[in-house]
Amino acid sequence: MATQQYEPPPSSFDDDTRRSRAALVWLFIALFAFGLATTLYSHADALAGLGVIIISPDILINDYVGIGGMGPAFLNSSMCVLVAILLIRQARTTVSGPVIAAIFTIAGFSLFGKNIANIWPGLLGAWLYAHASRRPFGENILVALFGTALAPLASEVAFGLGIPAPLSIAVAFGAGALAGFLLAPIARHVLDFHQGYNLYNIGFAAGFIGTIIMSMLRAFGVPLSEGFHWAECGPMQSLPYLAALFVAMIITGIVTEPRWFEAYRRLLESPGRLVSDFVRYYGLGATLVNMGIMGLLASVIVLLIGGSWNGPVIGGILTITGFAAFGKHPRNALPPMAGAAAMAILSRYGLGSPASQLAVLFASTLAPLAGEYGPAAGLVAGAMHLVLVQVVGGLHGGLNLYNNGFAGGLTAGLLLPVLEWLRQWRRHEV
Amino acid sequence: MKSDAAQLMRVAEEVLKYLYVKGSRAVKVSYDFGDERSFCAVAAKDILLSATDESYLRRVFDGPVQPEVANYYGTLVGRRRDELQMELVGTMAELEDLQNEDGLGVVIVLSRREQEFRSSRH
Repeated sequence: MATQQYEPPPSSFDDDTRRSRAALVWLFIALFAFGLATTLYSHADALAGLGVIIISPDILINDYVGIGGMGPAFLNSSMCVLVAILLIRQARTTVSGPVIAAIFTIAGFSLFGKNIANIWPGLLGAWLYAHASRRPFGENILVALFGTALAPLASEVAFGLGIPAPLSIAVAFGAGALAGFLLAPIARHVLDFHQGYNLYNIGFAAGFIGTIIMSMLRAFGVPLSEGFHWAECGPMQSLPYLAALFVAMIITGIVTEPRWFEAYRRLLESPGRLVSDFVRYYGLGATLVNMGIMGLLASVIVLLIGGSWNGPVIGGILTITGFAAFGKHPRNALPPMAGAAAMAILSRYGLGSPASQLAVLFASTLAPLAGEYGPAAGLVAGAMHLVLVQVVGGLHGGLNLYNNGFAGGLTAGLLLPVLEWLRQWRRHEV
Repeated sequence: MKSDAAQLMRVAEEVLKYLYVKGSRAVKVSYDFGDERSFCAVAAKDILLSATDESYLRRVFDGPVQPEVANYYGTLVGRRRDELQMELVGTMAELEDLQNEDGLGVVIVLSRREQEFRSSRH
């Protein structure tokens, strides 16, 4: 066992957390501005689109760009981000890698499943858990923010099961809050299964909760609403804006921290296993550069695989960008993404299917496996992830937005003991 | 058992592992659980840390305690055979004292404040 050499980040953590908070506000402004510009400043169109987004059942995959339009989808995303920023401010939480990842994940998934109405029950459940545990809400804020993965449950109960209106809202709040409450202990417990090698751990926990809920619904013959919305969009509407955002991140990182390069070189050596808070250990400058690079890299991958530039795909790109502050970098993220893409081409799924396109992006949840055990392990993990993700969605019926986190947890947890044994065998320790 | 006490034990276990990796084969761990603040001391008389390792430890504990990270991911500490989680440990406890002297060996004293964690007193 080798211990990592530690070099201090080039900037102070306190300064970096203040600047990180400001950067999140700029993210909100960027999403809001793009949303407003895309609706051509028509308030009526924006409100109509938002209304459609809110009342639609959000079982995977419900592309808000397809049902409400690009502008309202981004406006919804900006509002969800604002709620998250206000929550972390209220909870007086330190803003570093994990919080940045959580906010970007909310920004991304608010383009296909989370909306300004359905995130509240889960947040309430997380708050109730903290209250019942006699702990400050701030301690549970990461689970609360990531835990909005089960937001479709509230939408489905409210608008998809045919329950009369006032009662449906109450039942939706209760169901969503219960799921949010249960998520906190389960999320901590399932960490043990993959030992930090699946970055989307809440998705893994939410997958089990979604599976239980789905099983109950099936047991009582309650059907979930049908619906699959996947818009086919070219890159010209969103890519230039996203690319400008990512380039701005890189420039900001370089300008704010002149010694970013040395820190970034060390960041690239990190395996990325949970908990890899890049802001805390390499500084905000190097982290912003990494986020910008990962955002551009994910965009190039979408172009290469011919992906549609709709809500889910842009959401995937934003999530990867966020997790570039919390474990992902080009060296560890590319192998699983390449493995998933190769398996999609070799298998009957192909790269054209929505699930495959998302799996290629979200296979980067297994970046720590490549970071720790090498690119070959990452390739195998990505390939295994792609085939798993195609079937595990059926278990929870699309109630868990982080379906790739669920598949990633299974992949990491099953591969880990094998990889560990192989490493020990090569070292003649077995 | 208070969850803060359990977390402090995990922290001590990881520091113990760190000292084992550095070559110590006689490590003593002791605790002092108070109402307001709990302490753990990890002492290894049979080794001395290099300047780089001492700097590493000081830097790991340089940042603030992050309860939101410690509370959620804290269970990962002390689990892995081949990897250390010292960075995570740095979010869970504060470094009170680090001595690294000939004759004394290495003594690392860490603490967690109860005010920040408001755990059950049962």
